[in-house]
Amino acid sequence: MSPTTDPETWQRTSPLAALFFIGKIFSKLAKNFTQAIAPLAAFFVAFPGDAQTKVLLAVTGFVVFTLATSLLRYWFFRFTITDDAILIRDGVFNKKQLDIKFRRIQGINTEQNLVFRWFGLVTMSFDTAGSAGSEGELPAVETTFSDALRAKIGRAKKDAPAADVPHDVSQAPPLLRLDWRDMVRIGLADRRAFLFLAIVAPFFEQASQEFGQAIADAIEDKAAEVAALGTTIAATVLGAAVVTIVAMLVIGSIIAAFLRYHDFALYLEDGRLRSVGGLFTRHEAAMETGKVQVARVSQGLVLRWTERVRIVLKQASSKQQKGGKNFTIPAAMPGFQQDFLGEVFAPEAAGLDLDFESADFERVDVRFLRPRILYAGILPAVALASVTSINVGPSGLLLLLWIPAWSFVQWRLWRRLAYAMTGEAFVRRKGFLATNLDVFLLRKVQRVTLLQSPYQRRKDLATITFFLASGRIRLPYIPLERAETIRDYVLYKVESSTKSWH
Amino acid sequence: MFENVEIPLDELPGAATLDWQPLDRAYRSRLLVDRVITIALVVAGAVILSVLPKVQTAPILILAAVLAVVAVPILAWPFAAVPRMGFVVRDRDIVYRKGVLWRSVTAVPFNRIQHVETSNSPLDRRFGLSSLKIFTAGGSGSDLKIDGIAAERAEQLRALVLQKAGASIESDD
Repeated sequence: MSPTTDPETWQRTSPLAALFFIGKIFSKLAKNFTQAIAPLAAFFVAFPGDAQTKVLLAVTGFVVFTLATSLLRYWFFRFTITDDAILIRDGVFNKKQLDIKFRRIQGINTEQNLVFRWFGLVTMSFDTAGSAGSEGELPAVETTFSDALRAKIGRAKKDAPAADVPHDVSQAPPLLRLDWRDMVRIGLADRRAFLFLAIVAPFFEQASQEFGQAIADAIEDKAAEVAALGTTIAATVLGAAVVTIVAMLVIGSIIAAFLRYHDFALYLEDGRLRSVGGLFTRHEAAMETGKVQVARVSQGLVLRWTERVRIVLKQASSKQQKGGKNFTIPAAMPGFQQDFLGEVFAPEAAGLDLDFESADFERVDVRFLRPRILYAGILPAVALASVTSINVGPSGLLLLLWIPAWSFVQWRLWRRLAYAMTGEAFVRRKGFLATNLDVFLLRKVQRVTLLQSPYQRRKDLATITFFLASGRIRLPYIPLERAETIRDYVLYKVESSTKSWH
Repeated sequence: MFENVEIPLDELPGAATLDWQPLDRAYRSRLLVDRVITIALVVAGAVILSVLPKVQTAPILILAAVLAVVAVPILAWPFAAVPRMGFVVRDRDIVYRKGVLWRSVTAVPFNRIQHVETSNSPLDRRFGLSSLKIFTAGGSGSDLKIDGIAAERAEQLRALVLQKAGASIESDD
């Protein structure tokens, strides 16, 4: 059991690991861009000489520095595998030793870029529970080694002595495969392009007016028609620019989808989920089904239109690494979640209906709407409208339109907000334009809170909040008695559970 | 042998009818002292400001009026809030309630507790009080914190919770 510290067993990875360290340097630079730019600026200002020489010097300096540090890091990077842990020694000046116990490993991810693929190498990274920042990586190890190590960790965690688990990648058929059409869907469903449109749209009119005025000013013709014509031209130009940018963002998202998920395949073997995908760099992600805290099935507008759902399995996350390590299935046929999560949560998923419109869903109390519409809708709108109409005139009354708009949003939210519960599992549905299902096993709950506002107290309603290791799930405005029954039952399930929650 | 006994939902131990343990009486005084000190500091600041030359009196008077109005609920709050706080240690979990307007009841099962901590500030120590903090897994909001427990009691509770949590961890494996 004692870790072998015999120098013989400490090994280096492939020299190509230097590539990995170069990548690390670049990503660090990208993250700390402003800090990185400061010494460069200082260099440019402080040293005499023409710009060309300086650029050449800077580039050469940077290349030499990057190569040297990466090679040095490769040279000093050693690792060894003991019976129950991976030990890593890293660092040129600041040495550190990492001790990753097999049983603390939550997931193993591997990545393979083009060069590594050529040489049959992968980079392995290990997710560990809780402690953030102590995540370990083994760059540029051979695929045979990574498979063996993966199998060894799997065996060590199961405490089964060398069970002959066939570990060939291509054994079981995948549960799901995505083709190029799915990449387009995933790319389209990326919200960034639409977000940009939503941010830009309100300023569009004003911008085109100002731009049009600028055109009129530029040709020094103060005639109103010219200004109007300028505005029209400006609107066309701006419109074309916005359309181009949105189109480029959409294309960018689609390309990103290809890069990340091309030829995506999902496997579930032996309680372990595994996904492979990616165009140049192959990303492999793995998660044990027992680690899943919450499964989120979501369908936004685009996914609904293209008839797909997205599934994200959430693991326990610590405070430091928010949103931690999730396992994502970017697109799947609607209905896939039913069988898939049935297997992930098996056997405790029996009786769970994961259709978005399942009849099992029970809505929260309609009084959910009252405080929202009153305090965030009617009161502020009336107050603002009266103040503005006194100062500006009747047009201030337009602010009252906020009330129906806001009420509509709240009504939609209320229509979607619902829950269903089986003996072992809980589903909460919510959403405004999108629909999300959050599914979890009752025994995975960490603590429960019942909260009552003064209004809820008068109406015998309550908000129940489940705290899970991956985040919390709130369900407002359910009858108090029901909330108490659910709470007591969930506590009973947790407290009588003999299974591990992680 | 596989068993699947039906659970009589009505007979589950409910957290609704519990014998709530009140917080230590000294906690109310501790909160009051805390608040009196804060208000005294603000008043002192206002007095110093008003004594300074070239300061208009109107804003100072408004501040004084606001302070007088706000001070009443601030000072009255501990009298309303402390009796509403309480906790119960059951065989399998610890339940904590608090709140005057918004009332909450939180239950933490022992077999989900990661670690337990007691802490006290200098002011707490003057009143012989401690806080008990109970941590569960995940970055989900603040963990359970019970203020205003007598220091020795908090230590006993910490030991008890740890023992219960430890026992449940052992039986889990």
